[in-house]
Amino acid sequence: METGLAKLYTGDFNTMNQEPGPDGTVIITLSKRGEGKTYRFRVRDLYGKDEAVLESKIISTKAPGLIRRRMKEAKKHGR
Amino acid sequence: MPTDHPDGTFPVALIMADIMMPVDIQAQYVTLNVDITAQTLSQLNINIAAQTLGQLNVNIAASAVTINVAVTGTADIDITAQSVGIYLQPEWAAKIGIDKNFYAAASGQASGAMHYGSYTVTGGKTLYLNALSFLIHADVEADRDKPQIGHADLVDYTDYPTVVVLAAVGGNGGGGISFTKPITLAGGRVLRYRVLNYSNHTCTIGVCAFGYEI
Repeated sequence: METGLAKLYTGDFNTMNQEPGPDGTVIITLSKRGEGKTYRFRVRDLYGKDEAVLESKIISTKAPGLIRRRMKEAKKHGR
Repeated sequence: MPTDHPDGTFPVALIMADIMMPVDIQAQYVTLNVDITAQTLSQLNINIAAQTLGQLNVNIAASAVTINVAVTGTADIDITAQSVGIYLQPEWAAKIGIDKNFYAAASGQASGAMHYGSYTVTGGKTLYLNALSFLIHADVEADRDKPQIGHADLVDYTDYPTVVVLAAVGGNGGGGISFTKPITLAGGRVLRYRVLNYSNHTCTIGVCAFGYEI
């Protein structure tokens, strides 16, 4: 089973967006706080007999390196 | 037992690393002060059964403490700790990461169109929903100063075509509602959160539902 779909079925997320995809499919985006990843996948016949994930990707949601470096620098500055 | 004390009492000194002292007090009137000082105290059981107990004061000072209190009556509990917080369940759910936030939206929805999102509650758990909100706005700029009437609801879609409406809200441009008590759905039930365009022009419509799953 595709990773994002497994997370949907196990409730292993905090936030879910659903948006219409082409041809009656639905695009689902799942995220869970602290995990640093977002799961985005397009599924046909969600919860139905012919359910299938047609495409998927995992997106890193950590703060960009530039921001992390500045936060680290700012912490040192505050001491 | 003979005693040297003039009033016949027996002084008792207890000095040891481990002590177990069951105390059974049967009296019409008693004041019992218990002061427990230990480096580690894994569990403290206090069972008090009385016909009348005027006042029970419990003072606990610790860096970390879990307190389970079952009281029939009134109890004053004074907790001295490094940090103390009292959370309502939805707030606590967000704190420990079991909250659920659902959103579904679509643009280009004609008058009368409906958009929705679905979620099947995780098996063995219960979904508690505590709020519903929706948005609606015209896609075409010339329509944006017109009324944008919309409607959103939460339904139990499990037994379709029988659909049970759990909550609903309507409004112009959007709306929302917080529930005074959570709406619950058992594991395996199918939640649909829906939004409908009741304006007379094409709109973007979206719906949010909030809750937690235990």
